[in-house]
Amino acid sequence: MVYFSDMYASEILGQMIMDRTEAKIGSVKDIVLDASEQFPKMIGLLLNMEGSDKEKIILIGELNLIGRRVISSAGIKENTAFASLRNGEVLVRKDLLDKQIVDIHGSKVVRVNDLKFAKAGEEIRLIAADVGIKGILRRLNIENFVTSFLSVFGITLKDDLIGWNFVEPLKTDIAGLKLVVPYEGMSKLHPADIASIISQVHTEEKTAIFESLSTETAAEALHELEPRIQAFLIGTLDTKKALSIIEKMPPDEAADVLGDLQEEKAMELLRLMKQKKAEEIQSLLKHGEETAGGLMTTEFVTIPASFTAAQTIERLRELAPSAETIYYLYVTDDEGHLTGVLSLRNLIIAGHNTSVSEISSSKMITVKPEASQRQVADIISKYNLLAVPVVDTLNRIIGIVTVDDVVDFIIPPLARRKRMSVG
Amino acid sequence: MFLAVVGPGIITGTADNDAGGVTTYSVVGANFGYKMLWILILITVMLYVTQEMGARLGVVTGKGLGDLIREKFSINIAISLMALVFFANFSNVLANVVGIASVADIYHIPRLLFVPVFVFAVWFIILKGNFGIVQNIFMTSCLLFFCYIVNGFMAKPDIPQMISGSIFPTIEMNRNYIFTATALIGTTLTVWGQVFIQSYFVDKGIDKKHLISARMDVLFGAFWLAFVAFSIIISAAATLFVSGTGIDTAIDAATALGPALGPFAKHLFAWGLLNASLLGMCVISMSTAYFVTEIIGREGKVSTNFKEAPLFYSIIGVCFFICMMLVFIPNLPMVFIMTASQAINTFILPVVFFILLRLINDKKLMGSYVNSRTMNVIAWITIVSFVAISSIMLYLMLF
Repeated sequence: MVYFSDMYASEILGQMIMDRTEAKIGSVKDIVLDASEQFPKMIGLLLNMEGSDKEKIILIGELNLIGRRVISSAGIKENTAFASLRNGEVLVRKDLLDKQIVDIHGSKVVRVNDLKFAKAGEEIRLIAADVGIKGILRRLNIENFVTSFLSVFGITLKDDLIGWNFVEPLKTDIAGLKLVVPYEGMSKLHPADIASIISQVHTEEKTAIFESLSTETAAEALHELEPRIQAFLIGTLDTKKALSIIEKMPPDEAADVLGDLQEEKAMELLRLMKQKKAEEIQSLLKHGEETAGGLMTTEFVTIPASFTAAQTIERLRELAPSAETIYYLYVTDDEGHLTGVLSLRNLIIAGHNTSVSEISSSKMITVKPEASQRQVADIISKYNLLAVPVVDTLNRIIGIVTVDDVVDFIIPPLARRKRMSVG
Repeated sequence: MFLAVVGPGIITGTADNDAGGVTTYSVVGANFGYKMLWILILITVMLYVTQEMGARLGVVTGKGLGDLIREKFSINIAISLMALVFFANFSNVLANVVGIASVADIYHIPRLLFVPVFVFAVWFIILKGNFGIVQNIFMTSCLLFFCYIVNGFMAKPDIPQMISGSIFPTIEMNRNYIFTATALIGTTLTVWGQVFIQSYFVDKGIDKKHLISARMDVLFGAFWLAFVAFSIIISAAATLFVSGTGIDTAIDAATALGPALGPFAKHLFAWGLLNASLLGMCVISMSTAYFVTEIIGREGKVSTNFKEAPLFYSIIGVCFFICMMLVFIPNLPMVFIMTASQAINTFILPVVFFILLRLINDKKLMGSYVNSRTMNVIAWITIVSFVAISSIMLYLMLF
């Protein structure tokens, strides 16, 4: 049974350990943790032995007090048993302090300035990472000096702690820690937040995180990343994995990614892709990236004017399109000319046998493929649309631009990311 | 692929020709003619050796110098270095804001009007621009240094003397010569340059597959620096040295070039100085911001906005703002500030070089990319000669 109250790693490291007779055993070089549980358990202290240059581990069971001023063992020095480091054990100073971690809660990459321990039941556990200025000051032994100096001006420094359950260590930095399920916490995040984390870590870690994601999540996260990071990630993946991720993406997003790749790489991926998908993407790649043609997706639903509401709903069930393309159905004649647009709302409230031509609107807002991103955004925002059809010179529908493709123009990116993580 | 990698080396190399650099080169040319041109060869080698190591560290580890110091050395060292680098860089930013103010003086425009316009404009660009925009502006600025080269040839330099001055080392054993020669080397090898090149490669996200392109970029940067420096020296040598006009500052150079080569040369020189000062103040303050955010462990990238990386943009903003206020002070002791900033740089740079060598030879960090024995020998020779040269300079400066 050891006496312990909340303490920081910096307060333990460097202290001298005494035995019952106040003989010096050694100074604390590091803290040994068992990292197999969510809140790692302190299992011992690595000591620089007094009077020799050896390093040994004294187990927690040998100690009866760990305090800010004194750490003492229950027995006497000569009878103390020491242990050595085992697999799966993590050292605080060597592996954690000053290293980067991911704060899952705030989806930020931060540096560990200090670590907080607390007693939970019989065990002493690592409960939080201190990533704030106070942690740095404490490490430099000037916390009290600075805080009392600042208090003269009425400034108080806030603690900046991250609960260890919200911490994801970076794999390439901290070997052996929580590696059973790498990036477990991260996989629960929204893809946009994962993208934000990926953009903050160094290159090797980018690849490591990205490879740990499921294909669906990877596809979504990839779309949120900057073009040069997209190109880098796809470039480092093996072709098979890259292919499966790109095939999961809607054609417009896939075209964006391929458009930023090196040409050979993009061609290789296109060749290996299912032919239909490759053709769609290639037709999108022809348009300038910042135009309606480059933004549009070729996944949309058209129906003949002769259909009834019931037939249309039946068609929708067969096609089972993804959500972003279903809100508007486009009515076309035999040659593919756009003659009307039918909203999902009107379709659902209409009677079974109502003809589509009765409930669809022929007052259509369309854009040309050359229209700029700005113009498309203005139109979508002005008419409060969820999507706008892109038509060629003969008024044939060739794609649609959905609101999420231009939302960056309407709302600045950061605000958008925040909204997505809340909603 | 080279074009996608290119940038950091050229920008760092060119930014070394900042206001302080332009002043030093003009002084060298005006007071010593073509005699010191050979030193530029030495500088090119030293710059390449040190910058290449910085670039390699950044590209291979994906981390900035601040990150690595924080992770591999004690926190006390990291924080002390952070404070020192902040000071050294700050005085260098100040020197560049003074450069902008000098241009205002050349044209008799009030500083209060001229300086804030540019300071706010560049801060706004760094704040709002993404990485691509900022880099394109930097690269354009690098190209604008071409005006010095035009200037150099307009001056109709004495070609045989120019060639012999570049090839045959001449050393004069007098105080003035040695002091100017050491200052020439001191102005091009800098702490901020070392920090910036590494962080900028990291920020750019260059992968180790492209290490060769990164090296070419650094090499090109070192050559461009030397070429620009060469042109400034010969333009001053062909005119001011020949007419026996000794100068102390860049304003002297600009005003003296007017009568010698006509108003066009004067304008070229003045606008060149403005361009050099703007690039210098951006790069140096960004280097500070990178270093501090890396050590403290906060977000620090050009492609973020203020909300995401408040510390990064605040450091740049605060540096700019304080420097701007300082140049409004009449009779600012500029010589003292320049000397002090050189002295601080001279003290810290050997420490930074030493740390750089420790890191680049760390097998766990660099794997097969550690320095070879030959590279280590070259690096040590470079560092020892830098320490020797700068100690001589410091001695002459102080006593």
